[in-house]
Amino acid sequence: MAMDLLSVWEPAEIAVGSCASWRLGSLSVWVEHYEREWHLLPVYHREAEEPVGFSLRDKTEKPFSTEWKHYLLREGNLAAPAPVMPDRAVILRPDRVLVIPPDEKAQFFVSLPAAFRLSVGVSAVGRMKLLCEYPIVPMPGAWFGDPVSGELCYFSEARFFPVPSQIPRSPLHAVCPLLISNESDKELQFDRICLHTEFLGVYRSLERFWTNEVNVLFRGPEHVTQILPSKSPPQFEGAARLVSRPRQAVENWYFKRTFDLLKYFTGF
Amino acid sequence: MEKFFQWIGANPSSAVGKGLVVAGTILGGVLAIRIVLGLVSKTFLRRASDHNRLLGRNIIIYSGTAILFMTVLGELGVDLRTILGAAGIVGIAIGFASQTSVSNVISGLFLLSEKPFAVGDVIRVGDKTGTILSIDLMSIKIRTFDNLFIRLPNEKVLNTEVVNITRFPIRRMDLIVRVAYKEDIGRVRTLLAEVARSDAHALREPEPLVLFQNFTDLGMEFLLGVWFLKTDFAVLKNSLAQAIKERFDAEGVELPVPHRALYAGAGTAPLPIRIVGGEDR
Repeated sequence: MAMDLLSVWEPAEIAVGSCASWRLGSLSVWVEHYEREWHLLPVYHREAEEPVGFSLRDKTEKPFSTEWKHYLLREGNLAAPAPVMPDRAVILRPDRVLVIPPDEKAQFFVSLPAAFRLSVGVSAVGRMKLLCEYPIVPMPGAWFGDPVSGELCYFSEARFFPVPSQIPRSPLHAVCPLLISNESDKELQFDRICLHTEFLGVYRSLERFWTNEVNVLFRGPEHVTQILPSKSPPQFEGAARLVSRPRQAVENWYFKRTFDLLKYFTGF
Repeated sequence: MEKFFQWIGANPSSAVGKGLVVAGTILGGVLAIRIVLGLVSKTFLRRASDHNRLLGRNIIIYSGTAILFMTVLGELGVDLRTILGAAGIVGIAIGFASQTSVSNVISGLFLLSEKPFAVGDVIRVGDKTGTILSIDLMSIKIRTFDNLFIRLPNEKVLNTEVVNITRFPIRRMDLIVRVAYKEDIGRVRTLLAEVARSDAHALREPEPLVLFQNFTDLGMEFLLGVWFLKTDFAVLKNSLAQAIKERFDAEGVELPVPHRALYAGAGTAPLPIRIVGGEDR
């Protein structure tokens, strides 16, 4: 069943004159292939159910909209979808306050919503041309840091699971392993974490998608938090193969303020 | 100068030659200024902000023109030392005659060094709001949102409170919302917070602010403060107002209309009413 769910991400042949659609939870991506043209339309649904699948469709079924985008490409019948991490950092707010005592480590697993990336080309091993990217789960914007020099992020409320098996399997999410080390002499109590997903690739194991493991080193609120995304594939559920590279290359050590322990805004 | 004109009269052929040299100097000078301007614009100023690009261009044009002017005067045989000597006296005279202009120039220099705004910023000066097109030596030019061109003298800008609306990447929009006295304060606060959190153009963090403000003649007054990206002002203003109205309508929250209580003059006694001509109807 899990394999069936992940198969929605397999490349698909869409011949000239054909119409197809991917259904990814609340997102439908409609594709119509013309001679040297690909027409694309994302549609977001409000239904609570989250069906997943790919199917060739009759042209009469395609939605009427002025939002169709026409991409001009000379050749290629193969459409290759891929899950990618969001293009901006994500502020994750745990559903409960998490406390890590001094000199302790904690391993968490968080489910991150993926974005849908579609590339088109002649063959899967050849050069594919990127057409579009759509968020599968639209996330609201949020600002991390002070109002002058902070950064625009996405916002998501998430449950931090201690073991990955507790996370429901979903072909629309990737599990991010987080190893947080509190090396300060104070307890680390965080109510949000800013995860820079642009440094995370997406890996596929047998049953679900994963991201690189992220090691977070906290040395106190007055110090910069060190974040080290692992360069090797996650090993929590057998071997995993790379599906999408990170948007930005992972440097040896990436320094970023991660925890927001201070309240910057008092309202008045 | 008199000698110069006497010399022209005495040497008409040399005067033509001199004229050609001067014309050539002017043409060459203008060309040189344009070349330097082009080179600097495409190298040093290529990645500069609009503000710094304008500043750099103005410095090149003004200093280049001054050098060219001096060169041409030198070619004409005008003694620059005399001019510079006279400049002090003339300067005082001009200073008295053009106090406003000089004040604008000096104010312009202060504005350039203080940098309260840059080209492309949206500012409010007095009752004028618009996007800065240029910051010049005498004035700044802005374009209002209804596409009017306004020239604001630097002196006025320096002496007036200037609000730079787009200086920071995020802003807070404050909406005053009034509801009828019969409504529950806690419920209204919850509804307003939910509306703010569900708006796609509102930032989830910093969290929206919902604050009870006052008991007024019109009803209970709440402040809803929603943070947003500075580019989303107009779209958020519309979507938020629409969402509040729709949610209040759906939840049966009454938006108040002006009320007037009539006082009969005797405690809580009912207002005496006498129907006149009721039987005829």
